[in-house]
Amino acid sequence: MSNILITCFNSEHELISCANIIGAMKESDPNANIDLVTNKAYASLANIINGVSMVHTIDTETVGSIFQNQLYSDAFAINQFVEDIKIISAKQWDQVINYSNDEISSYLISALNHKDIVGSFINERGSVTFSNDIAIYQNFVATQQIKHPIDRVSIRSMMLGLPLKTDYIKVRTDENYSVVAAQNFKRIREMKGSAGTFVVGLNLETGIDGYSLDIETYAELIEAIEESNDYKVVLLLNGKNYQRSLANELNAKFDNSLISINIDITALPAVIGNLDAIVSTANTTLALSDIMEAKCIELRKAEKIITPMSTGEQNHVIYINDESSVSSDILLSLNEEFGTELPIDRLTSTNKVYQMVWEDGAPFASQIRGDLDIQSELQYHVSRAYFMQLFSNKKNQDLLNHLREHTQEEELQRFVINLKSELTSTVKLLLAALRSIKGVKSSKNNLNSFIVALDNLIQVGKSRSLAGDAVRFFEGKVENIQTTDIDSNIKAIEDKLFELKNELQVMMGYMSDLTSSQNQATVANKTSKEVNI
Amino acid sequence: MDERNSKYELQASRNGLTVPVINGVYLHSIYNPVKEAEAFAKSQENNLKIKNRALVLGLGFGYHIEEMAKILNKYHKDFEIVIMEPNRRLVEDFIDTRNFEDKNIKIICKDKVKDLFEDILFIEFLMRKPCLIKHDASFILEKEFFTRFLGYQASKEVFHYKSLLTDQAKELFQDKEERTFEKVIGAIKEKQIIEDKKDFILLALDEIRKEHNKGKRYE
Repeated sequence: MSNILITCFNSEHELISCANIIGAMKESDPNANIDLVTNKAYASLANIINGVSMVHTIDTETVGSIFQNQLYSDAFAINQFVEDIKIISAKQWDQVINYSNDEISSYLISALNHKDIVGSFINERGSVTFSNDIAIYQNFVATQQIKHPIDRVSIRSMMLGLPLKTDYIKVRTDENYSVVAAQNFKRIREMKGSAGTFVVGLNLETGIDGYSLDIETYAELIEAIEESNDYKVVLLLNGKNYQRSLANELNAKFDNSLISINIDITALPAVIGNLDAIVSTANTTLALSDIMEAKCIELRKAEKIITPMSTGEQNHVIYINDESSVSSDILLSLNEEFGTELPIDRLTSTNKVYQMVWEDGAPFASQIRGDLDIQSELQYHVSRAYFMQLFSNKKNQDLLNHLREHTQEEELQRFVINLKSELTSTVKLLLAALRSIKGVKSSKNNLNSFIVALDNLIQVGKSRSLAGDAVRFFEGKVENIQTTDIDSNIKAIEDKLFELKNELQVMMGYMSDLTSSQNQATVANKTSKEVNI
Repeated sequence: MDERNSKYELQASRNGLTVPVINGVYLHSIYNPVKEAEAFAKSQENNLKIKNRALVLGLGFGYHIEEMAKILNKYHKDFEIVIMEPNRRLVEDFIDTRNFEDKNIKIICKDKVKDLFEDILFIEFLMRKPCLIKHDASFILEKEFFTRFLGYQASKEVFHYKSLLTDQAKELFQDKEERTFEKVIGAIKEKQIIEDKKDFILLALDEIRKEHNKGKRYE
């Protein structure tokens, strides 16, 4: 029986996503003891994650507040922390996983007795160390991407070498709450005269990006849904005053006919389990709904296109830049999901709508409506295919064929020409670094010119491009070199340079995959020099 | 006799209630202490409506506290009043003569301000952000003590707070000569090799401190 500790301090939604890997871990080792360590504030949430043997908490809020307040002695913060980690420090762990990839965990897990670490940690020289290439990708590539081609949950399951599965119970549902919720929802459905009525939860909580729907949009949405015989709306609240005020205002608009459910975290799974769909900004309730496989329509601010919180197959994510079309976008998503005919006021929305699709055992966001930025979409998909190939040794030829066959030739040409240009300059810098490393081997006097050449190459990583992603991955590998003498370091860097060379060759292969034979000539003509590795 | 109570007597008010008179200061109205206390509590009603915890500077003879408890009870399901009173004799006389029936009211009696801040239960109470209410007559009488309390700053020197550390926490500072927590962390980071696992505990703790200072909250 193995003892495993997962650390997760970042956020509630990240903690919820741990459930994805815990199930997979339990399947690979049913007798594994999996403990979680998190913030005290997240304790009730951690306790509903299925498969967790024990939840340990650290009162980070109290510890931080004591340190910060001039009135209190640091001694109390230190005592609190030492007490909180007493059990986890005393135990022998077979594996410790830095799930949330945070600094607290990186130091803490280095203090624990363990046989194996997954993720990032601090080594005895005080440097950040990564357990494998996926952990490097997470820290050097994913952190620089606004929208992650490989989502965080998939990265973590790959880091553990486990498949990301969905077919198991991820959340503990209180039986008593379940019975009551099932009875109540049966009554709610029957209010529309049919047990088959779709119940849609409108979550009134503000998102982690600060986004919330305005009352008029809610009202439009509720009016359309309530008038339909197919649906019934319930308002979801979690005890906050602004939610109560909003629910009261909405109720006043609808003659107090709306159903509001005020739910705490313990009862939440029972309620979510009875919803057919949830419309929500990105927050804890949405994250929980997503892992419980409720159909989610996630609402995000469009200023920054960031990775959706939803991962479930066919969930929709709406990036909102036009408030006046939001209700129509949501209704359209409901129609698509349930085959209904809710009335749509506006068919010309500029809001981008994505659908979550699973491929290679991991979700990604595929745009289905709204203004399409083809170049950035191509970059997203090609980056995903590239790194998935590096990590799994499996080329996604179907995707490349699909992109070639379904993208306008001009757009593809533009993409390939840009990629070729990026790769050409990167390869030149790579070759210069390889040449200068030979010089170092003959004389250490050449070390400076090698450092300059290496630095020039690493600068490519500053650009948000495919070559930039590849170079940042290389930079991470170099940072993760653990040898301490110069000769071994030089040798290790040389190996990483050759790895980068091979990896860029993979990317180069994509150019011909994306270009039909007749267009290859055009691409070649439009670029000044052929790439040659 | 201690200087604090060089002139100390308990007088009966016109309506027969006990009123302490210390060094010439009447802690309550000599005519009707309850009526005065009602008016005092009423003046604090807005504070007590918002917060269900109060830290009161000065016990007096408890009349104002009882009236405040009535208001707290009206607005909150649970409430807590902690009274800070440095005069031990006054506290003893109060307990002997009247005392509070309500278990939500606690008196803390310490001579030194530092002792208050070395009591973890008191710290925990303060961290729950009570409203601060000053009983004027008591404040005048113990001005020095209460002023020191209000301007208190805990020592950041490890040497000063080492006695407050638990045995396990003390182990983290074995062989550490730096004066403050931050300097201990600085010294660990300057080391070429971190040999002692306990140093990683201190570094993790420092990350919590830094994240909190940066404004990250886990509430």
